Amino acid sequence: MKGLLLKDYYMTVRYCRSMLLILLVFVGVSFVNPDNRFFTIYPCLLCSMIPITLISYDERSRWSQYSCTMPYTRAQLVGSKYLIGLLIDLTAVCFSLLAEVLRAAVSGGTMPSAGELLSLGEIMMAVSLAAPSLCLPWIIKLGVEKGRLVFYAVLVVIFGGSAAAVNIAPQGLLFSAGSVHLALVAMVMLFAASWALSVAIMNKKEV
Amino acid sequence: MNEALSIRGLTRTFPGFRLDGLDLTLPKGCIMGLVGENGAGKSTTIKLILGMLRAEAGEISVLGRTGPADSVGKEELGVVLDEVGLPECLNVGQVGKVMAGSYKNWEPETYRRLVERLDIPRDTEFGKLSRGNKMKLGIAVAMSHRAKLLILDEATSGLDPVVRDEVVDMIAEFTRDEDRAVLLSSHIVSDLEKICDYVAFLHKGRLLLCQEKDELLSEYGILRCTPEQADALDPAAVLHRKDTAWGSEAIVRRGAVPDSLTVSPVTIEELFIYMVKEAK
Repeated sequence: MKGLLLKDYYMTVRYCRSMLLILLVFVGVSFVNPDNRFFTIYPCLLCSMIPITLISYDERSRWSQYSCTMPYTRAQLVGSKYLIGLLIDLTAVCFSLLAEVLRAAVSGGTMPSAGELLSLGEIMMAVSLAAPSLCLPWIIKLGVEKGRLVFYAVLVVIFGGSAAAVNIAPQGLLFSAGSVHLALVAMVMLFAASWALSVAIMNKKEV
Repeated sequence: MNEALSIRGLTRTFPGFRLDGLDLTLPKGCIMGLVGENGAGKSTTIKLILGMLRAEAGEISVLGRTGPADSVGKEELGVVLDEVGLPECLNVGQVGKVMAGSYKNWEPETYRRLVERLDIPRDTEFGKLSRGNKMKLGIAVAMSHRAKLLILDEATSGLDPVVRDEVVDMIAEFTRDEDRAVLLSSHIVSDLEKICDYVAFLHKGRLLLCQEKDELLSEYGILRCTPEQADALDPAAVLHRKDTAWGSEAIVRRGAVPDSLTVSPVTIEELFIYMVKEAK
């Protein structure tokens, strides 16, 4: 799978440079508006969609077909997208946490504790895992063009769900350490289930 | 095991098209040309061999392994599809590194030599290369990992005549090792005529013929004669007949034509066109 990951790395560097710029702008804005976590979490959500961008370029260049002539199993072809997504998510989360610490250091505010950083990292990771978990099986089944509709629906669900959770959940419960752990575990399980489902879809698919 | 590829009764139906009971045998050390007009079923056959499509019926054996090529078997296949399919943002060097991470037997030196021989721009992204250069890069990749079976789908189309000739030579060189074989689909029949040992004619999903090229060329010929002479021929000897104001022209079996008549050599292209017309 090394070749697949290397190819996705080259494509990420070439096509997703703008993501880095967006990440920097959002981090910059978060320095001005330190109370709003949106500017820290949203870049993670954006980066989590990179695998979908990569699949779209794969379809355009016919790599989706060509890769099926190479010595890879269908499971490896799918797995590389989940794996590259996971690596990008981890990088984005680490970057955002670093920005959080930097912001505290620059503004002279209270430095976040290890526990707070862990909770924030867990929330970011959970958000990052949600979108690809919900989108990738559809995109692998229907292609990016039709799957894009699912992508927009997922964005609505994530933002709508987050807003509803903030309004409905009792004060303090939503971001308590226990509920954050639980959310991350649920998202990891969803991610694993989505991976398995995508492999099953790909194994049946004709290209 | 002397066969690189064996297909028996391969069948697949799509709306408006059916690949119907295809039989092919490609011995090792040989090149087979799969000839057919657009939509004849060449790409469908190749996709079935590669397991990209599923057959409804029939058997495939690739390099001694039963069934369509799997991930292990694909180590020994070099494939060029009609659109090549390499990522558009990668240059020659990056493609080489990706392939080195994909094929166990990747040979960087062979790849470098082929890129140089085919004069492919090294620093240009794949998407910005001409169709000819894209095809050449696809061929260089296919020939750089000690493949035993090359499967080339319309790989010579889009190449200028000089480069096409070079590529055709490279394909012929590839089978100097008798352990290797090539399945080459094209509608440019002249390319196939130059290098193929076997020719298979596909038309509307049916195999019209699969035979050794030399046997085919010695078996058939073109007879130009008067309509009366053509009428006197054994109908079984005439594959196709065309009457014009100047006389008759017929594709005939040489052995069934009287010695008094002169039969000229026929090209694979002429034979294919006549057979397709006859099948309509």
